[in-house]
Amino acid sequence: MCIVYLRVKHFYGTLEPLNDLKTDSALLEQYFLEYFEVLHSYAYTILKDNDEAKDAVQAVFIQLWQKRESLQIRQSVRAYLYTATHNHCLNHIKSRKIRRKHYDRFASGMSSTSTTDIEQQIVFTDMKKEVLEAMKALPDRCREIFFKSRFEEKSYSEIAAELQISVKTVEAQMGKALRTLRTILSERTFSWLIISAQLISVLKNLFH
Amino acid sequence: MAQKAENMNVTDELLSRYFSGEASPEEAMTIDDWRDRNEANNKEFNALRTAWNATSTHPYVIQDARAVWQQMQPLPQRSRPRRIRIATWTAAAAVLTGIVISLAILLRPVRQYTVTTAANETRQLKLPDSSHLTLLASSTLTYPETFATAERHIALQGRAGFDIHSIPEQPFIITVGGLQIKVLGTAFNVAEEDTATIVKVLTGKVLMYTSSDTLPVAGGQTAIYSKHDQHIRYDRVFHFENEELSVVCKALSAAYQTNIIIDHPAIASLKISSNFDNKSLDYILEVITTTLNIQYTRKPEKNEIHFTEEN
Repeated sequence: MCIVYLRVKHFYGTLEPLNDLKTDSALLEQYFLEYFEVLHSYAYTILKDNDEAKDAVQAVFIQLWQKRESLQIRQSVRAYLYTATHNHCLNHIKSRKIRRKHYDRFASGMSSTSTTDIEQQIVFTDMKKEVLEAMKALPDRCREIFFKSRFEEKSYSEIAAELQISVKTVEAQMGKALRTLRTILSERTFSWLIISAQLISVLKNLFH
Repeated sequence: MAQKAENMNVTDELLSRYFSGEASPEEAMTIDDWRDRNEANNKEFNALRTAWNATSTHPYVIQDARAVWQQMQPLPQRSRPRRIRIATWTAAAAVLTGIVISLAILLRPVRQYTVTTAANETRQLKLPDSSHLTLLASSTLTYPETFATAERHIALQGRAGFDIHSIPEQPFIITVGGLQIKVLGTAFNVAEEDTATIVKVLTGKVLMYTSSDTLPVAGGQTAIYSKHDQHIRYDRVFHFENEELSVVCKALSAAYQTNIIIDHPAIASLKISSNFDNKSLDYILEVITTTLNIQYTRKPEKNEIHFTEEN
C-alpha cells in the first residue's frame, strides 16, 4: 500500500473492532448492512452496471472476510472499504475487453436488457423522448463532452486528450450538464415517469 | 450554483465527477458525508441521480442490502495466509531455542540453586557476583553456584527486583517467560504474567531480546514482551498534560518506532492533553488530528508519519 491519506472528520467506531472479525461474522454483517448501499452506489458510478457493482461490493467483503487474519488496516474500516471497492472496480474495468456503446442502444430503443415487460418499455420510451429533448438544450460543447462521457463511457482524461482541453474544463462542462439536466427534467412531466419507472421496479422486486 | 442546502465543498463538478465514476474514494466519502448531513442534501443528491439515470440504459437501482447479504451465505472458509505459517514456524523455532537454552543452563556441570517463594513470602537474595535480588511472592529463581566467566545466566519464573553489580565484560542474562534480558549494570523490576513479561528499568539500561526481537530499555522506561505475538515493545502508556505536539511526537516516535514529523512549524507548539493506555498508533493519531484539527499522512516506505495543517 502506498500513501494512505486520512482526513478524520468523524469517528466511525474505533479502529479495533476489525480484530473481532476473526471470531465474529456478525460484525461483518453489521458493516455490510451499514455500507452496502453507499458502496454499491459508488461502484455503480464506475462500472455503470447494477449487477457488476453488486458483485464488486460482495467481492470486497468476501476478501475482507478471507483475509481478516493477515490484513493490516491502517485506516478506518470505512476508508478501507471505499478504497478496496474503488480498486476492485478499476481492476474490473481493465479486464473488460469491449466497451459497450450505451448510446446506440439507448437511442435505438433497446433500453435496459432486463426490461422485457411492455409497461416498462412504454415508460422508458416516453422518458427517452424527454431526455433526448432535454439534452438538446445543452450548449454544443457541453453536450459533446457529456455524450462522450455518458454514452461512449470515456474517462475525463480520455475526453480531455481527445478534445485537447484540460481535465478541469471537462469537469466544469460535466457539472454544467448535470445541473442543466436536473433543472429541465424536474420541470417537465419527467418526474412522473421516473416515479412510475421506480414503482414498477419496486413492485417487481416485491413479487420476486 | 449547486446547493441551497448546506455545502461541504460539494459542487456540481464534484457531483458530476461522482456520477461519471471519476470520484476517488475520499471524494465519494465526502459526498456520502454531505448526504448524511441533512435531508435537504440527500434529496438534492437523489434528484440529481434521477436526472443522471435518465440518460442511462442501465439506470442505478437501489438493492436490498439484506437480500444481497443473504446471497453471500455461507461465507467461504478463510484462506489461511502464508504469513501465519511463517509465524508458526518462528514460534516453534523460538520455543525450541528456549528449550535448548534452558537445557544448556540447567545441564551445565556447575551446581544450580533453585529458590521458590511461597504465596505470601518475599525473599532477599545475594547472588555469587554480589548482585542483589528481591524475589517476590510465588516466584522461582534458578542460579548457579558460580557464574561462568563469559556470561552470568539466571532463570526466573514470576516477579523479582534486581540491582545488578556492573561487570561490563561479563553481561548478566536473565531468562524469563520466553525471552532473555541482558543487563548492562542497573536496577530494574521484572514481572512474568500469564500473557506477558514486563520489565521496568529504574536506572541504567537493559537489553530485552528473543531469537527474533531485540529492544533496549533505559532507565524510566517500561517494556513488555507479549507471549501472544512474541514481540517486545515499549509500554505505551502516555499521560500528556498540556504538552506541545513536538514533545508528543518524540514520545510516540520512540514508543512506536516510527518517525513522526511535523511539516509545518506553526502546529509544533499546539498543546494537547490526553491519556493513552496502550492504544494503537492509528487510534492516537486520529485523536490528535481530530483534537488539533490537523491532518496526517503515512509514508510507510520511509517509516514516516507527517503532520500537516488542515487544508
